[in-house]
Parts: sequence; C-alpha cells; structure tokens
Amino acid sequence: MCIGVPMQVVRAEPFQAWCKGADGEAMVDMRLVGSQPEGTWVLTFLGAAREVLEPERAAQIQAALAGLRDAMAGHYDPAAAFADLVDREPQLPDFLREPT
Amino acid sequence: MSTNIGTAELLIRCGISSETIVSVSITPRPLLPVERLALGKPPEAVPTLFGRLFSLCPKAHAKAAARALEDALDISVSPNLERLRDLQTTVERVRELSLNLLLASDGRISPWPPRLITLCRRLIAALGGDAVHWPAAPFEPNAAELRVGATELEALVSHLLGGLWHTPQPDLEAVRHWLEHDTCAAVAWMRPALQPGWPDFGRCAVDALPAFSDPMLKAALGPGSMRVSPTCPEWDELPRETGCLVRQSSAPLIREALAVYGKGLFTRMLARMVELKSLVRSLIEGIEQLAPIEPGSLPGRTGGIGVAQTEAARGRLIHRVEVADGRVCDYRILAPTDWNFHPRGLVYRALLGAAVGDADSAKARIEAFLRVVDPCVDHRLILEPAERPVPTPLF
Repeated sequence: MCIGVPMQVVRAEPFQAWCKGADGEAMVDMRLVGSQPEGTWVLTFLGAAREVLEPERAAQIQAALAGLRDAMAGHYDPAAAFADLVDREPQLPDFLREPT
Repeated sequence: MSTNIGTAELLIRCGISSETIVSVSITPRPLLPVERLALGKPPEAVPTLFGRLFSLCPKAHAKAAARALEDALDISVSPNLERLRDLQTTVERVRELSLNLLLASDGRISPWPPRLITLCRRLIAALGGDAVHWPAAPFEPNAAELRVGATELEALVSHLLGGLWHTPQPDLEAVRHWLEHDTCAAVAWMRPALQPGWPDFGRCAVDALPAFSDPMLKAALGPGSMRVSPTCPEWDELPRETGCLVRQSSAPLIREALAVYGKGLFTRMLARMVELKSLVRSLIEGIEQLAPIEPGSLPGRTGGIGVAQTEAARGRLIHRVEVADGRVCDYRILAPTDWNFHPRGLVYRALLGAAVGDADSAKARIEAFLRVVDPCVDHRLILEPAERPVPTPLF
C-alpha cells in the first residue's frame, strides 16, 4: 500500500536526517528532498523522505494514519475521524479562485 | 501499536541449490483495514480521505474513489473534468517513476529531485488540486502556469533520460549505444541489467490483467462467487500481472526487447523508461487540450454500487463502493501489489528455477527484480540453502 508516514527532522546529517514520527525515531535517507532544517516535516516511505510537507498537510496525513491505527486496534470511531471532511466542498487552489 | 503502518512487509523466502532458486515462498503482507475508514462517511469526503491516507499516490486513489462513487450515485461529469483528473495522475506517475529511478541509481543529493517534487506539486495544483472531485463552481485550469510547468518537467525528465529522451523511436541497438555511452541517471540505473545472467533474469509467462468491464469488476469485487481473494487475487483461475511492462508491451521498442530478453529484468527496466517518456509527452499534449470545467450533475440517487479502475504508477488500482442513504456502507480496494505478489503469481514464477550465481549476485539480482516489479513494496528477502527437489517419476 502506498502509505507514507510524516516524520519531523530532529537532526540533519549529510544525505540523511534523524527524524521522529508517531511510530518512533529513525534515520531517514534525504537524497530526494535535500538537507532540511530541524523541525521540517517530511513524508517518509521505506526509509527515504519523498517530499517536504507543510505542517497542515502533515497533520492531515497523521490524522488519517491515526484513524487507521484505531481501525487496526478495533476502536475506530467513524463519527469522530475526518470530521473536517464532512459537510465541506472541495476547494480550488488559491490561484484558481475568482478574486472576491 | 503492534504493526507499524509504513512497514507492512511482505516476506519472500528463496531456497537456493547449485546457484539456482529451487523453492520460493511468498507470504502476503498483512491486510490493513483501510477500507473501514470510509464507512459511514458521506461520498464527497471519500476521495480526499483516501488522498490523505495513500499519500504517495493520492491522485490515483482519489480518482478511483471519485469515479466509483459517481458510478454508484449516477453522477455524470464532463469529459474535461475527466481529462483533468487523468492529467493529475499522469503527473503523479511521472513523479513516482522518476523518484524511484533516482533513489535506485545511487545518486548523491542533487537539486534535481527537490525541483521535480516541487514542480509536480505545482502542476497538480494548476490542474485543479482537490477541486477535480465534484467542483461546486466552474473553473478554468491555469494554462499559462501549466505550459511553463510542462516545459520545466520536460527539461528535468530529459536530464534523467539523457539521449533516450531525444531519440524519437529508438530500437534496441540505439538503447545499447545509449547504455554504453550516456551518463544520465537512467543509464546508471539500467546498466547493471547488462551483466551476464541479468538481462533475462526473471523471464516467465504470466498473463496480463485483462481490461475489465464494469460488470466484470462488480463481480470480481462483489460479495458473490466471482469475488477475488484480497491476498491471492486471480482472474479466470489464473494469477495476473499488472504494471509498466503490461502497459508498454505494445510499444515497438518493448516488443523488440521482449523478443530478445522475454519478460526479464532488462525489458522490465526499459519499459519503465519508455513509460516515463510516453507519460511526459502525453502530459504536454493533454495540457493543450484542456478546456473550462463545469460542475458535474447532481446525484441521480442516494445509494448504489459503483466500481472504478485506474492506472497508478505500480499498476491497475481498483475501487468498489456501496452507498446507502447517502453514506458509504461498504468499500473495497484491490491494489497492484495484490496481483503481482500473489503467492503463485508473477514473482513466484519469475524466481522459481532462475539461475542466480553466487550468494552476493543472487541477492542483487532478486532485489533488482523485485524493485523493478514494484519499487514501493516493503519486503523482506530471505535466501537460504536448499536441497534440489527430487523430480517426481512420471510412471
């Protein structure tokens, strides 16, 4: 499954960085995203950072993974999870919106 | 938590005797209850929900979810909106093919991958971002931004592919020349496949996943007797293959490579390069055909069953949804890995009986094969000495 995990850079080293995420800490290959400062969120998969994430996007992915962990543990609450997606219309990127 | 979500690994165990693989055991990865997250949700939340969960191929999953829901609820969307979604997944596939190539080609940090990642994100936003799932108001893709982005993408991918990009219709001889003389990342990645014993490594015959009609898909993922197993899916009682090689098998260069190397390592690697080039070309063409987007129709009903299939970077992705009273009550996803890593499917047949050389070479060859079939599958490979099975007497 193409499920990446957001992690936050704790300590940068050449070509890699020590990062922390919901499942603990790990050394992450940073060749694809370049060296990143402490505090940066990256999307990791199979030990490599695939993308730098905005904090908001990192939080959304983390919330989705938290829902999945709850489902795996048998206590997923559909009413509480992804509440921000309910009763909401898909949004255009800012630059495609009509000026108001 | 007992299982780390990002490491739901698949176990591949190969027994080796006299430098030949004599046994293969594939233990499918544990199934994650991803579909459960959609249950009870209103349809409009589901594409974005899966886009967040499947954060490496969000556009492919979101598109499959949106189309399955449209099928279930009798929503019609304009061809222009469909085209926009297709182009988003094209950008995503270009990104995945390129990044996997860069990761595997042993490169050091360079400015190219971050530029590619940022550019792909920009292109997807210019193609409408999340608004391609049932926009509430008309909008027009930003053609100027898209043209600039496509030109930049062309430059990046041509840098990756070197001379292969600039050769209009290369034949195998031109590819050999390219591999011998070019210094691009694609050549660095492919060159190991020229070693003795590598080009046709993994050569085997597994039928392609056929083109499914909607009724076939509904049967395959529905609750009836035709339902395929999530851990070892088969069609017509046979394991199937999906992915780059299947998609590119009619390209002249790949047909030529198939005639020489069969479905071995070399042809599979080459198919990824051919696909990368073809995707960028189709993106450039597609951008020129974009038109203003109108909102889709309102749902024709509040419940129903819908299916959709789309080509993701790794192969065919299939979604099936059931909606009742405006809420999702059943969901099912069949991912490409499920087909390609069937316990008796493509990887099993490719490895069983293959000559692997000494221990170091064995590991390198098998890993290269697994990565070219699916660079995104988390696996653990165990090689162990084995007795050659005694042939069963015929009489």
